[in-house]
Amino acid sequence: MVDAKPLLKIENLVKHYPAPGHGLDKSRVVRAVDEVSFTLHRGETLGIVGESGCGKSTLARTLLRLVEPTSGKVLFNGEDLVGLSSKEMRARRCQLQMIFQDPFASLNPRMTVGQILSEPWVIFPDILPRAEWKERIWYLLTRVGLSADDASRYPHQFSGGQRQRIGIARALSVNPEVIVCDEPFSALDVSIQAQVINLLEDIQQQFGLSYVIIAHDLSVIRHCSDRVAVMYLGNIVEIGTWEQIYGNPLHPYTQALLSAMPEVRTKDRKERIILEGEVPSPLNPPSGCRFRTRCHRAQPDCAQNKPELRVRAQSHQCACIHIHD
Amino acid sequence: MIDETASTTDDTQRDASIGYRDIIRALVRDPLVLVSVIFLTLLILSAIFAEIVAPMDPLIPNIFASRLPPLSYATGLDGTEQLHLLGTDALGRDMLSRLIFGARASLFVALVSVFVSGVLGTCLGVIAGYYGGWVETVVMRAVDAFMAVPSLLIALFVLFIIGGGLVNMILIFALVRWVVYARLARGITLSLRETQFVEAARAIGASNARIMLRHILPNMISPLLVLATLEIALLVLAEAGLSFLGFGLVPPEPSWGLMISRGREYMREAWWMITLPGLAIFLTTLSLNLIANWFRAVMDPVQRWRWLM
Repeated sequence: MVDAKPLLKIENLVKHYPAPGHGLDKSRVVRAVDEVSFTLHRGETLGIVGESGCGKSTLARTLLRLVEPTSGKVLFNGEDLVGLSSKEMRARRCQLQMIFQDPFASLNPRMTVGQILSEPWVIFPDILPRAEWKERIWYLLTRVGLSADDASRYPHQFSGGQRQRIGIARALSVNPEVIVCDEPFSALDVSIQAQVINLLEDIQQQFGLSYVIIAHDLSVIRHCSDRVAVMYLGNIVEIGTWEQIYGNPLHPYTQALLSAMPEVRTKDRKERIILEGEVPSPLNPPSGCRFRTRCHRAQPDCAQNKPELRVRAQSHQCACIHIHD
Repeated sequence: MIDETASTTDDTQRDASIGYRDIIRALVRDPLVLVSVIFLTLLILSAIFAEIVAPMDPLIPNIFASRLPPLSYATGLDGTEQLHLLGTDALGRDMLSRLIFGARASLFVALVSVFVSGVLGTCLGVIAGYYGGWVETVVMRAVDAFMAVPSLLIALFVLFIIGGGLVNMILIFALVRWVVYARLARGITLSLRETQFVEAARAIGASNARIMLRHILPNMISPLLVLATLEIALLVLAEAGLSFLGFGLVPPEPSWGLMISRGREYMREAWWMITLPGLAIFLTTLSLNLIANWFRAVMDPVQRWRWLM
């Protein structure tokens, strides 16, 4: 299932925002995404988890260049997207698509569903000849579980789950290879969430898609990811297959997150690790390991050395200097 | 997978495509708007075909028939008995004919200036809000500068230098009034620019021009339309004011504003001379407001079905 050569390779991606109220002082920045690297293989689903404000959404937008990265590389099929001019980038947008968090804000209220789905074909007439538009819209709508008559309706006439399906159909309309999903389930009811997850899995198999799914819900990520990356304050602290992350979490932050996951089990329940304090400000992150201020295993030397992501086992990487296995 | 589809069975009439038949049906259902549409249509038609519609020449005075109240008869210059339906003014000119010819000037100035300033201001505002940076700084500082000086004062000053007249007046109004649209358009663009559907459009490869025209502009039509109707009313009055001061249309030429300014002198003894053109302005702006409000709702997919059902 997984090729040797990655489809998408992110290298040291950085996004710094100028700090609010410090317009002239360029050194004061919000380090939303700092030195993030990972790979995504064809047909694979990479889940990215982390608490609010850790830079997950910025990462999603940066790797699609909806937000310009400060530095780093986004290698898609070996080609660096960051170096492309905006015109060259536009021509490659079809290959990378995005599904958005809020289904009520991600569809233009003034366009019918048909117009929304056919817009990419208006922009790139080569994708599909006009004669086939109607049929293709019908196909896409039925594929995501809506009816063909829905093409002439407006977004406000649909429920949240239906709108998210329209968003999925829009992403599919350009035959992408990678779809980045930014919290695609968090605005949906639990029952609808399950349907949308199943839909995403069905179309992944059918179209051979690769997903980057961003979520804060660990159980959702476990259900749909092949590999999982854990983010904390702009850094990836641990990345591995879901068996590794959920079965043998190495990083103290991952351990704390997993211990907070609600479980039905009553016996041999592991001790809960309760994180102390607040997430530090990305304006002024702690020195060394960024998690050390809240870590239950922090040592004095954590403040000096910035931990790198290091391979601990087959495809299992963790950024903590106190893990020795 | 058969989840939420059930809820959509009862609202098939909320479908997207609306024909002129639906619009007429909705109009009939809303008599106030219907009356406004009829009134404005008649007004515009009679302004266009003023030569045919107006019973008398609006410019030729008849000293012997001055200040006649509405519904009075007088002997015209050609010796025949003539009915002055809405009376005559201080020089004995027929009020109805002057109102009809005056509609031409007043409406033309207001509509054309609102159109020109609206298009100009909206374009600049959207571009400023969308691109930000120095473009925004330049446009918005210009807006501030125009806002800081009373627009009628600028108009007065420029018209004093380049002279009055219809075309100059339209140009000046466009020049001083674009700022209100620019400010509104920029504000809305700033918030729409960050929405997810604009991001989604960018993700499918839409160009900046396309995002502005197809995604941002259609979503600000409603507030712009409301602003434009208010501006029409304002400009009818501004035209009146400037003409009154002698910087707009030149006197024997009829316009509602000039008629009011002339009638003002006879307010005590001839109420119709000021009341009738005032009523014309009032009814025109009222109808425009009603129609704009209705049009805004009908154009909005979220509200449309209420009016079309």
